[in-house]
Amino acid sequence: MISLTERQVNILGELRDTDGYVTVKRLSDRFHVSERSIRYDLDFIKRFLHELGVTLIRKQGQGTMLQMHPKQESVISQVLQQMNHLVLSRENLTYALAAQIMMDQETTLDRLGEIYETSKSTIFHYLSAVDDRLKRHGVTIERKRSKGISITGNEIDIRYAFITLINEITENSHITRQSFIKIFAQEHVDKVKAFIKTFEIRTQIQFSDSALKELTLIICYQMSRIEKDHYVAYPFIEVKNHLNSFAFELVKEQFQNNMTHPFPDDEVVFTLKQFKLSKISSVPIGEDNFAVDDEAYRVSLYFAREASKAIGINFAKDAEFIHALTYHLQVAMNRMKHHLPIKNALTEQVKYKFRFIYEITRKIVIKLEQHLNITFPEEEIAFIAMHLGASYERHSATGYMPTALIVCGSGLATSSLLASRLKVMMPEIKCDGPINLSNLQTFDLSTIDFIISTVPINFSKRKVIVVNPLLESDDLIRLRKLLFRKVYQKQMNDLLEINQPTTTLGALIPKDYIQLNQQPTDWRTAITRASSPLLRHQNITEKYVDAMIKAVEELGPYMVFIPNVAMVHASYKDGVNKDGMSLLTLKEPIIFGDRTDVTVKVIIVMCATKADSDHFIKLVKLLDNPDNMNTLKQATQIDELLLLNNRNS
Amino acid sequence: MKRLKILTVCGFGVGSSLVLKMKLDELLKEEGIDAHVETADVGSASSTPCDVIFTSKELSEKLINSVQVPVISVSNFIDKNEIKEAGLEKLHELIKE
Repeated sequence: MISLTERQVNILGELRDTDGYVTVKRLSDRFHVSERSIRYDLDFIKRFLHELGVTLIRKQGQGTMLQMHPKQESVISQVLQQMNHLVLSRENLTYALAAQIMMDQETTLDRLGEIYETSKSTIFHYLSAVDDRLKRHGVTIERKRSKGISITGNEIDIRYAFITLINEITENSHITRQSFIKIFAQEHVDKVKAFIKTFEIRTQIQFSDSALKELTLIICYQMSRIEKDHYVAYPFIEVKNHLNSFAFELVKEQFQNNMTHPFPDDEVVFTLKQFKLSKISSVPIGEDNFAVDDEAYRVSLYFAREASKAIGINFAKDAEFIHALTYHLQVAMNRMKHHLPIKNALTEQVKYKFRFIYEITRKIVIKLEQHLNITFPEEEIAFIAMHLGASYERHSATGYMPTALIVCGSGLATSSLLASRLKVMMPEIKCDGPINLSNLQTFDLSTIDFIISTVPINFSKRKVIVVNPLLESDDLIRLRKLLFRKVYQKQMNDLLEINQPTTTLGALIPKDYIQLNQQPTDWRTAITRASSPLLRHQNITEKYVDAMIKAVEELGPYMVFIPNVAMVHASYKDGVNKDGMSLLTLKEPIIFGDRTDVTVKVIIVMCATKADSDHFIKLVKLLDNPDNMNTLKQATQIDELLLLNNRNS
Repeated sequence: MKRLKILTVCGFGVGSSLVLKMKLDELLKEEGIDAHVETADVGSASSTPCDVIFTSKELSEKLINSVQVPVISVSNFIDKNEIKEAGLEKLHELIKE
């Protein structure tokens, strides 16, 4: 679609709002440009409208008229809405006037009326709303007959009010920070930009694009305030903290070289504070040398430790993570302390896509808030979650490559072409095959994540992606999407698994229910001895022990369904008082049952009052791990066992 | 393709049959087989309608004469590969029927 300039949008708005013909002369007067420019604009608008199916009628001697159905009218209105930068709502006009008054410092109703193309009385009408808005930031509008409109208040408040206003405006309208920068004298802006650049180079940091614009604005404003002899003042103790620091000297030197006005130390401190409030996009590479008592560094380490507890990855060892998070927090925490907004366009996406990471982060933040006395907004939590997520991905994505099986209906040439193309274009997929369609049914799919085929196939066990053997861009896009989903799914599954509460052996079987290295003479004595803690704690009665022995006599050693481990139990009707499990390990394996050669080294007695025992399944999952099993068989101290869990693989 | 009903059986229908069901469910999911797995004790197994029974070696010897359906025996209930080797082929056969 052709896009219109601001003036063309306004002309279109004028045409829409006028009944009948509008002359070129009138438009030329209205928009302060030549008739020739208006004609050019109208040609453009005509082409633009043509795409929307609307006719622009132009008649010699009469002018131009928009002819359309009501349906089309709403389309035009929508288009205008989207494109219109200049038509300000009441709310926006209040903001804009507030910003303008702050920038002008001293101004008049006439001047404001001129800038916003509206009457003095309209401006006057808005002034009280503007005053309300500014008062929220501690700034008052003063109106004096001779001097016009000016602002008063604490200088620090005025400076922060200015930047807050601009942030609010840029967030709520199409007006960009750039358009405010344009209002300052070009010469000033250039100087300030060069100054920030020098600061970046000398301190080896790089501000993000939006931070750069914000900084340019606030420092330009600082300059213009100083020129009118408005200075900030900080308590001496605060200034003293900055004196002689590298950054302080750097800023001071820069200002002395560039500014004609005196530049007291307090103003240097103000500038330094702005730098500290600005978001950084890249940080010095190399050794971390954060001070041990640096608050942001300490918070980062705290995050790393807490997240490690929850996820089981040692984040504190991820230097890249600590580094990036510390730099981020240095700025973010400063902003939060000053109640400045933190913007994160990805907040919603992070909350949705990194749900687990976001939740983990949120829980850590809640703990942290009490220590620090800062409230973290959602946007900030999302930022931290992104850092954490990146680190998590660095740890978990390594090593995982989905495997695709290439299935080819046609000859070898096509399939080998496809295979080699895949290798070059999508090295992140491991490929198996190619195999013929007829071999698919018998192929071992256990290591295959999905199937790439050159012909459509009806196959339900794995997802099938049909591609052109030449791999067209459309095929690549579909493969990339699937790949991303697979990797993502894998990560989420890993995370889910990790997030399951850990069950330790000690939690399932308490210490005094465990006996090690026993040497009973036969399997009957072994069961009786293994049951003794349950009897002692009255989980079961003697009847249950007899029932278990009888079960083995009658049914054989079927309870040995994990090699060397007997999971002994009977029916819950045979004398179970409450759920429980006990564990006994044997010094030497013994034969378990009569008429059999099955041996065991571990006996677990379980009793449950209802049919499905959750604890039992948890115990089996815990034993479904060769390392745990070995520890169990060889343990000599009960304490070695208590912490075994289903995660320590 | 019909939906299989699988029965896992142990002495009392409370412990090992549950473990076997858990592992079977995992295996079925991996193989893309749609089936329903239930647990039972050795006494009620013969009167529970099903397409196939999974159980331990000892119990299978007891069951094999009292039921009409195939009985597959497994010695290590948490070894998915053993379950797979012992039963997968049979399951595919049953699906095709």
